[in-house]
Amino acid sequence: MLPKSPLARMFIYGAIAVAILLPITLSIDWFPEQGSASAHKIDTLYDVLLIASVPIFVLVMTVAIYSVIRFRARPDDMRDGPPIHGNARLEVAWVTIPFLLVTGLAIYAWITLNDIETKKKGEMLVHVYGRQFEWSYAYQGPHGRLIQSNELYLPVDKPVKFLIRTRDVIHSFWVPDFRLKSDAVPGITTNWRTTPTRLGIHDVVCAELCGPGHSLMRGTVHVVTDRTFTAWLAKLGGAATSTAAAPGGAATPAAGKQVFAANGCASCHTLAAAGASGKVGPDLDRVVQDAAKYAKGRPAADYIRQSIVSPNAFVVPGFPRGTMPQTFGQQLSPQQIDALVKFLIASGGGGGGKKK
Amino acid sequence: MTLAQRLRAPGWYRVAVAMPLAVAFALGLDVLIRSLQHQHPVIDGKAVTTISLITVPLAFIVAIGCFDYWFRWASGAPTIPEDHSGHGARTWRDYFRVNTDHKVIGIQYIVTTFFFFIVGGVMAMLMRAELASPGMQFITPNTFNGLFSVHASLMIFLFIIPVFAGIANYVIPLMIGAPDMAFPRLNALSYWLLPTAGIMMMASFLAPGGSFATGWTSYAPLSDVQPLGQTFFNVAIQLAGASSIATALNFLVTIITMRAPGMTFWRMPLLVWANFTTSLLVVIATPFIAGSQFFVLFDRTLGTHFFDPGRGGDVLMY
Repeated sequence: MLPKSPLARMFIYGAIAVAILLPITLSIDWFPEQGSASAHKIDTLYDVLLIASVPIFVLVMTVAIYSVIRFRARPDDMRDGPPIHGNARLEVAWVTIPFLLVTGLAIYAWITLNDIETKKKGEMLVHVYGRQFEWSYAYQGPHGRLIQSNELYLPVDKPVKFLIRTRDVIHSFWVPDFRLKSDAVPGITTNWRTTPTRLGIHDVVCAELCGPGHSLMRGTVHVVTDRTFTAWLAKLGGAATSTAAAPGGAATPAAGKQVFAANGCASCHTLAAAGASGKVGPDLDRVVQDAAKYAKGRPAADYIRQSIVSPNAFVVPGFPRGTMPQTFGQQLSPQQIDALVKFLIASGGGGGGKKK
Repeated sequence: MTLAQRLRAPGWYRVAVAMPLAVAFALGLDVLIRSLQHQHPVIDGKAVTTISLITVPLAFIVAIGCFDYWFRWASGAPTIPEDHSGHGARTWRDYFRVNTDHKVIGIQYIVTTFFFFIVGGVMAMLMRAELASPGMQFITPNTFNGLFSVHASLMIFLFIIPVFAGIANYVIPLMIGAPDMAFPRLNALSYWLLPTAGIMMMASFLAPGGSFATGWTSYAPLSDVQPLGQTFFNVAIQLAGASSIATALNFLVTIITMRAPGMTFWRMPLLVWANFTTSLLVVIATPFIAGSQFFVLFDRTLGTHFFDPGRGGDVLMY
């Protein structure tokens, strides 16, 4: 038998709703796998927030729905409601309790974040650079030299501090499995710390709208054993000075393919020879036909070189101006650009616009 | 009325004349300045569009008749006193004229905001249709970003914010026992700024390079380097913002000074209180949004560097 008093009834309905909803919300698997030492702290924080907010939600909805059904005006009822001039005790209560609740949760969240952000022993520094529309990285090599990389490898169980910068607009460096993200703001270096704990491949995502290629600005982080990481970094450190893709190497189409792969061209352009299928910029399988069509008499190499170095000098009709980064002229050495142009001429004529 | 009289009287005939004149003025200003500076070519489409974005809405607002009374008063000409003959609406045509009746303006507001609500909703459905299967169906990534940006801007600046102003316009004078709003002509001006802003946001799809595609937050420096469509957003926000600020001031003055005898502050209904606090927030906060969009507009058109850290700007200022 239900009690007569509306307050008691609302309390019972609310208690039943909380008893049903709370286990459901807590049993839902909200997050991807936990890939870092701090991931469980974030997940616990989220669970605490759920435990606090489900009863509040139920309280508001129960009062609202119950009042609408129980106290609605019947069709022939034209009376005014009783004149109520407020209830000081109730008003003080509904201001004080949420205030204490929100303050308490804010302090708890602050402690959690502070805990994650404390400096750890033996931290490895990794520089992160955002650019439309790719991530690149640099490691601290011997003698203070920076080792550039387009892939992110991290040794397992070793604390890392990311220093995050951007070369153009605002991006946001986010690794969902590590449970942390931070904006990359022009003119500011932001940072976050983490300790990867799970071997394997995790996604890197840009979480701030950064232009037409934003949805393609994704990468991966490879969490590997300490030994694999050391070998990989040593190879990268050595390779940076010896391979053909480096400044000063020979300008061959093969070297150009490496330049293409290493500079994120594939995230915006389609090119069958490089396995690229981006749709933001013009289809490079047709770049030789395009050069014949738009360059009017000039050699195709001139047209392609101009499009790389100063992309806004001519924009293929149908594509927005100002989308392609204008910094490749400074970032790439003349040999690298030569190689890239040769590679594009060699591989960009045969596709005939047929997309796979 | 003869055609000549119609062209001189406030209304759509005058609008039809004034808007091409505003474009011609923009073209003339561009040709004058660029030829004086010996820049070639003298006609720069981007410059003409940018100036037109400012002159055309102004021409529309003036020609539809929002400023007639104030212009007469300011120039010393005899003003036409308000005899309340225009109050109320007899046919649907009356809703397409400048009207100072708070109930008519309330209905104008609500119908206009729901129109943009539906337009924004159609854009949302276009996006869902595009996302129905992976890959690119019928719109490019840039158009997709443009769709969700215009959708969000319409829903926020042309629906959520002004629909409450519409309802409040209709009911608040009735609830506090006031004969009308405190500034009826300002009220009409606030309304007519609104469709102008909405049409401008929708028109950005016609700009070369597509509509603004930076989301409704339109963060600098991304918005600094966007194609021409972004300028439509910058100016439309000024119009929608001016509308919000003017109508919020109107509500504040109405609620503070025009309550019926016996309607003390603590006896006001909750809806009036809600509008009072919302209006206070709008008056405090909206000018900053307008300011940030002016900075972006200056960065884009005048070559300032408010949001360029390489030249001493600061992105966090946005």
